[in-house]
Amino acid sequence: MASVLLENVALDFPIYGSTTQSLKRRVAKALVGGAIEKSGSKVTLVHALSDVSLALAPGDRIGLVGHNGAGKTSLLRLIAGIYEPTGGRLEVVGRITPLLDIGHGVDPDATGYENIVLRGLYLGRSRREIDTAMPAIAEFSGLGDFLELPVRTYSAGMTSRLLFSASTHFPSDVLLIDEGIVVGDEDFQARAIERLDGLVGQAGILMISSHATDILERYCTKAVRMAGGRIVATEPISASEGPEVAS
Amino acid sequence: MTSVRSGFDDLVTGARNVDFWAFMAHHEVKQRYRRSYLGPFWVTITTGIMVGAIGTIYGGMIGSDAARYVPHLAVSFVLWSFISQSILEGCHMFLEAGGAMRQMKTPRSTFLYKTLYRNVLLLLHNAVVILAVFLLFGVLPGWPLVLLPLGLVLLFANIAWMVLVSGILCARFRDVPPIIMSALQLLFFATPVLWMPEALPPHLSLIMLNPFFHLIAVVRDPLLGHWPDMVSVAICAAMAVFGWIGALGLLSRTRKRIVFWV
Repeated sequence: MASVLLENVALDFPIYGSTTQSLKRRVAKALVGGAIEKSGSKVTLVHALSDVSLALAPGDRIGLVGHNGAGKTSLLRLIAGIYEPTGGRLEVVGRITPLLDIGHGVDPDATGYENIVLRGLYLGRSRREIDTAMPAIAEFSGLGDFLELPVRTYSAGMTSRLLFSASTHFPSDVLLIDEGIVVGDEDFQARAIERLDGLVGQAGILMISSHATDILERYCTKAVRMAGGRIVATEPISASEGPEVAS
Repeated sequence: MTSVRSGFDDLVTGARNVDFWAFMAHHEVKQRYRRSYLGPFWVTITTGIMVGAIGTIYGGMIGSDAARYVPHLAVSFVLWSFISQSILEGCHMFLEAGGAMRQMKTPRSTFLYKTLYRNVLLLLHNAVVILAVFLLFGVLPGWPLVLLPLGLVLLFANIAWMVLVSGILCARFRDVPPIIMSALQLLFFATPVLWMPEALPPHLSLIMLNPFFHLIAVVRDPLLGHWPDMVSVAICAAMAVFGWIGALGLLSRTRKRIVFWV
């Protein structure tokens, strides 16, 4: 049974090598959401998340909304276990799949097949799982014999088809998605949305960070609004209202 | 023991991530030589050429017997390449893994295993040179060879913590990679690779403080048919124990923060 529990979670992280002149910091503080603070000599400390509490159970479909720098991606990374909280308590039960940057780790000189393996490994899957899934992923990508060729010979659209196909194949209990993963030409987009529907349907808990109202309305039942590393509002989403109404 | 606990857990969970690091290591070796006819055997060939050239030039200059000098050189050079290459790659292992660390949950030691395994693969390619030299000069190690596994365990155990420590330090302080690079260059001359340990004059015996002197000796001696010096074995074992205690302490303290440094 999947569950995600955060109690007063805080995440601070140090930024090295930034010039910490006070004017710049003030400007930065005004422009981006995160609270920036000077700690010690030359290290800037960013309070990426402060006092975040959230309890999610199977069936929860959360849309994370907020300005750039509000802490959406940090929260997703925290739940994915990439960052560990610097304060508070975090408990996640179930298999997590973070679809954060599905373009990472592409090796242009490796073949399509090899890149599917790479993608699967980056998703934390075993070789056996990947090898079993290979025919289905290859089929869905629709790339056929191109999979034998190095990815550098692909068009941008073909590369994103490959990455999308490999990344969305594996079902998981907790699905974390960072905006903008639906890609490809029109024909592929229709199939991609169908695939995403299936993946989201299988997941116990879904969390999507997105600015796109149609994505949020399609997949989410609740919007969690973030600002300055805190959760400022939780509001229901319905297709007629949209997440913007309560803010 | 609590201070090394989380680092130890990291090492254990990282080892289980074998599918990831083994594939990555193989893939990187393969990718580097893709589209070349000889592939990774270029590693073997370049090492062979180095050993051949140094053996001829230095062997001639030092005036020592080629049948003794060249096997010594081949073994020492291959081992030194493994040591220095591993540590130099260790410097960059976390820096290069930044993107991967920010999109997947992965024990930090995953990247340690990848670096070590990749370098062991390269060591195996280079071992062909040792074999060729042994055949050429008719070197038969005999009974001391039974202590080779011990020497290899000591070598790998020590290199592993050195790679881990340099990885962490280099991720945090960007001044460390050039320091390590210079230190390795200096140590190369203080290690019996180009010269033979017997040639060490007594007033320079301080060189015996060089840890790599002993790390190479415990593997080289059994290969060349000598029983390894028990002092070297003891020094290597002690270095492995204290090195790992320190490395685990460091990993435990920094494990969470490495992702923010890179």
